[in-house]
Amino acid sequence: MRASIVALTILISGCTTAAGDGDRPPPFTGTNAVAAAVAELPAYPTSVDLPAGTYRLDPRHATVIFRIRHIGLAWFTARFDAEAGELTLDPEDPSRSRLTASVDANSVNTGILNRNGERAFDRQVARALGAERTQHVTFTSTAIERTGAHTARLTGNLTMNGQTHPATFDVTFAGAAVDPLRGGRTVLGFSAYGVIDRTHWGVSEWSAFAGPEVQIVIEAEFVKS
Amino acid sequence: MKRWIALAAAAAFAACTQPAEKAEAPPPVSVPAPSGEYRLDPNHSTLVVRAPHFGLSSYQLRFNTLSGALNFDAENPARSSVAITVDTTSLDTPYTGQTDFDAQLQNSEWLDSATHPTATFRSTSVQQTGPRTAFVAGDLTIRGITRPARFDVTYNGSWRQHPAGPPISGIGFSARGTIRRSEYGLTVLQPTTGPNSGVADEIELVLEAEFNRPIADAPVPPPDREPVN
Repeated sequence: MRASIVALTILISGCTTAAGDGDRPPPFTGTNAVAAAVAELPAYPTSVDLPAGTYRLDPRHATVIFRIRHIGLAWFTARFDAEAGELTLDPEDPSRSRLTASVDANSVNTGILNRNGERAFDRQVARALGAERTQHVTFTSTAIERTGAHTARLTGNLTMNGQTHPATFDVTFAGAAVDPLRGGRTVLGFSAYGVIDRTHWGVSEWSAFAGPEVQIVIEAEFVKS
Repeated sequence: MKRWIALAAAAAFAACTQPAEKAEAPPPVSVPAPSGEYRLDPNHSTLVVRAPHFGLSSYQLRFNTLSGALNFDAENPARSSVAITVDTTSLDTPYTGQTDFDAQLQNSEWLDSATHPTATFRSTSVQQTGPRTAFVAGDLTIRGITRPARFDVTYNGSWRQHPAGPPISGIGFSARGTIRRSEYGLTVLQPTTGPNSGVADEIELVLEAEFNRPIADAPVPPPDREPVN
């Protein structure tokens, strides 16, 4: 009974904050490219040759963060510390490229410690993400649609908490470099921004306080294998 | 009783979905939070710094320990002021290599956290730019060097009383700004051979901030207890 009243209070107070939700902050990375029909696709933003083949995510130059609305007030921001990825690049026709990527759900890092200095909250979040069922949250591309000179819409299957559903990211290709510090290999740089509804994957913990929408912000460099 | 609650819930939902009243101008944003002094909620506020690396990707790092105060004027939000303090020793990257990257970024070449354990921002003006957006300008101090900085701020929402019942008001904002790190003496690894080298001079600060204040007319706590903040 008491729980019902609390739920009702939350529901009603949810109304007052929901009023502003039509006016969301702009996408985090500003990569929502205008999907103009590009008759002649302009060149990539790089003067470096882009060899076809396999590129591996460089975990030292990649960060995966996510943002979730907390009681209508702010986008609480956390991250995953362990990620991996492999890109098979077709520079002639990038839509034929393929990407697989994953993060370790147990590597979630909120920066919040309990009174004993332990990462108890991180363990709770990992459980909420279904780490016991699916330790590695994985993404496998199914379609890449070029939307501009150096932007694309990346669609794929996201597996989390034992469930697989489609997810879409807006991706910006920032450029490429041949990096002497990374064995003189070609390095590609990307930003990706996507929004998922976590409840589609059955991840509904703390739904009274935290919104269903999760913004995913990825910055990643890939090194030619 | 259950049925009554279901009805009330349905009514609450219906209230949510009712269209906004017709008006000539866009309806003003209603702010349930009252005016007054608020404190930053350190457990629900996050500061991310994005530093473009070799023109390829933006490295995203975090500061874990923040504090701050907001003097909020609900009637005239442009007369509000805010001060934020960042513990520079709480810098936190996800780097897991052999070297202590967090310590490296705090050394005397970079943030010099031993000498300057805090970075601060104090607003000097708030200029409303939309129903729920504003430019917040102020003095940003990093490494003991103070320069003017401006942030794009979005008011996300607020409540007069916390939805789970605690006698506190809450208000939340998203803020973004770009600074030139060289202005604060952060000149290591500046781009030398064009934008696609080094770590960019312009770095982005992304703050998500929630502020709380005790409700003034909430029941007075027993005399042996400090008010809950």
